[in-house]
Amino acid sequence: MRIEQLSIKTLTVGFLLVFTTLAILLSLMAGDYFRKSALLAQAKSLSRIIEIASVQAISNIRKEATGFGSTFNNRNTVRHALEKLQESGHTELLVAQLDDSFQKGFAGMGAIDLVKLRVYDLELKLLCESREGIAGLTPQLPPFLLQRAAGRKGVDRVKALDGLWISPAGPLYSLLLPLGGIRTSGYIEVVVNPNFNLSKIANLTQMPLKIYGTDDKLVYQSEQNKTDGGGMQLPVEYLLHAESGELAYRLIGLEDVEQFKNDMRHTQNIITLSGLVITGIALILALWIFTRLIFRPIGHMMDDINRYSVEGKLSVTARQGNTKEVQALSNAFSDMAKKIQSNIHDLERLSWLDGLTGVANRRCLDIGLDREWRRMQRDKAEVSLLLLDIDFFKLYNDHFGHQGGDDCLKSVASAIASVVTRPGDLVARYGGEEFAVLLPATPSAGALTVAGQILDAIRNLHIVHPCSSVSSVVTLSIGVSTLRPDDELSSFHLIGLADEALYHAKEAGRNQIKVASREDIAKASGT
Amino acid sequence: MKSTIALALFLLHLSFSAFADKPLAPEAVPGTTRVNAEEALEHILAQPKMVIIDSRHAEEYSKGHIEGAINLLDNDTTALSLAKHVSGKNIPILLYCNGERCMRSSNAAKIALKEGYTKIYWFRGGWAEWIEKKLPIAQ
Repeated sequence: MRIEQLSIKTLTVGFLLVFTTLAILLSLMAGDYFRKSALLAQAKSLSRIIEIASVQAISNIRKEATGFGSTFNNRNTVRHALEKLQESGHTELLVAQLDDSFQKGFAGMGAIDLVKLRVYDLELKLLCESREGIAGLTPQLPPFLLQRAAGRKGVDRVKALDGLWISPAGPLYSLLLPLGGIRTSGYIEVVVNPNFNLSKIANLTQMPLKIYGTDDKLVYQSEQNKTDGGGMQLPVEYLLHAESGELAYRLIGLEDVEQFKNDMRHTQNIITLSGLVITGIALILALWIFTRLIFRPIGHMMDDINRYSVEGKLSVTARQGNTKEVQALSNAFSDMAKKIQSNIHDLERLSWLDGLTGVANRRCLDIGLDREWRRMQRDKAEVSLLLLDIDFFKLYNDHFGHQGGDDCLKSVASAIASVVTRPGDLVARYGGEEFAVLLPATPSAGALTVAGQILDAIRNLHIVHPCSSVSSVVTLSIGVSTLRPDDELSSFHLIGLADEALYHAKEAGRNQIKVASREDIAKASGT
Repeated sequence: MKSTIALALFLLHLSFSAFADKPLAPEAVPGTTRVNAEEALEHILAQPKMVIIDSRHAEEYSKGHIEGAINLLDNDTTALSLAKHVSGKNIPILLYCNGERCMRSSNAAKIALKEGYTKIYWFRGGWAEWIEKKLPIAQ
C-alpha cells in the first residue's frame, strides 16, 4: 500500500491498535511474571524460615550439650574418675561414668539425641570413649575441631568449640568442652545426632518436611508428608552445611500453596484486568484527543476547502479551542483565503472597469444593458441610452498628443459620471472617444434632460480645443434613444437607434443632442 | 478521643524512655582494674589466692558461675562479709555480676574499695560475656 493512500486517521488508529495489542500482551505477561515472581519470593521467604528454624535447632543442641557437659564436669564421681586416670592411666572408671549417661539418663536427655562421649588429653589425643552409643567413628577429634583446637593458646584453650561435621555414619554435631573446668586437664567431646532436633522444624514451620542427609539419604519425613495428598505443594529447599563446607543436610519443606496460588491468580487477574482497563481508557482518551485536536480541525479545514471548490466560496471559520499548531494553520489558511478573496474582488472590479477613465467598460455596458433590458421588459418600463462622442477628438489628440488626449478623456468621463448619479444608471466608455450612459426606467424626456446636463457639464469644463470648428472648448455630440422593451425588440435596437441619433447630431453640426426619431423607432419596431 | 490518644502517646513515650533510660554499669570504677573475660581468667589462673565474688542473687549463682567464685550479693557486701571471705586488704578480688546492665558488681567494687581493698579487678562484662565466649561453667 502506498503512503498516499493512507490517511492520518488510518495511520493513527492503526498505530493505536498496535500499541493496544502490545499493551494487552504486556499486561498478560506482567500478570504471569508477577505470579512467578511471587511464587519465587514465597519460596525464598519459606527457605529463610527453614534456615532460621535450623539455626534455632542447632542452637538448642548447643545449649543442651553445654548443659550436659557442664553438669558432667561438675560431678564428683567424674572428678574422682579423672584423678584416677591421671594417677594410674586407668580409663575404666571414666568410661563407666561416660556410659552412665547413656544407661541411666541425664537432665535434658529428652532434648538431644546423645550418640557418643569421648575424652581427650590436652594434646587432643583420644584417651577413652563411651562403649555405649554409635560405633565406627574414627578414633580422633573430628577434623574441623582438631584444626580449630590445635592452634589455640592461653585461656582460649578452655573455650568451648562446636559444629556440624560429616561422620562415616552421617552428619553429627560435636561440642568440645574443657574437662575439669578452668584448670583443664583434658577435653570431653559430646557427640549428638542432629536429626532429632532438625525434625522438630516441621512443628515450628507448620509445613510438611523431608530431611535428606549425606548421599541424599532420607533421614526424616514428617507425618503430614506421608499422608498429604492435598493441593499444590511448593517445594522449599534449604541446604545446611557442615563446618567443613560439605553439604550436611538438605531440608525440603512442602508448603501448601493452593490458597496462595488462588490469591496469586486473583492478583494476576486484577493486574491483567487493570492493565486492560487502563489500556482501554488510554486508547479511548487518545482517540478522543486525536479526534478533537487533529482529525476534526483538519476535517473542518478540508470542508472549507471543498466548499470553495464546489461553491467557489472561501469562508474559513476561525474556530476556537484548537491546539497551537492547528490554530496557527487555521489562522494562516483564513488569512490566505481572505487575501485570495480580496484579490479576486479586485480582479473582478478591474474586469468591469475601463482602465483609463475609471468608468465601466464596454463589457460591463453590454451585460448591464442586457440585464436592464430584461428587467424593464418585466417591469414594462422604458429604458434610455445615450451615446456620446467628443467632437473632433482626433484633432485634439493630434494637437495635444496622446497624453493630452488621455487627460481629456478622463476629464470628460469624470464630468459625465458627476451628472449621472442616480442609482442604477451606468456610465461606460463605449470605445475610443465614445461614451454611453444607460438610464433604466427613464422616458425620452428624462434622457434628454440628462443629455443636456452632460452637454453643459462638458462645456463648463472649459477644456481648450483649438482645432474644433464648433467651439473653442471641448464639446460633445449626443444621440439619445428610448425604447420600451418587448418581445420584438432587443437591446441592439436601442444601441442602433442611439447610434443613429448620434450620427444625426454629428451631421447637424456637432455640439448638440439628437433624439432618435419616431420614424426610426417605428421602423425598428416594425422589423 | 483526643485525650485517649494523648494518654496512649504519653504512655508509649514513658515506655520508650524507661527502656532508653535504663542505666548501664559505669565504664570504669576508679581505683579498680577493669578486665574482660579472658583477662579475668588469666588473673584467676595466675593468682591462686584471688577471691572471685559473684555479686548476683543466689538463684542465679546456683544455675552456673565461674569456677571457684563465692556468692555475695552486693546488698550483703559489707566490711564484715568481705573480711569473712577475703583474708587481707591486699588479697586480689575479682567481682562480677550479670553484665553491663547489672549494677551489682560495680556497687560491690565501690564498697570493697571504700573498705580499703587494694587489688580489685572488676569484670564488667560479667556472666553474659563469660557465656558468650563459651568459657567453662561451674555449678
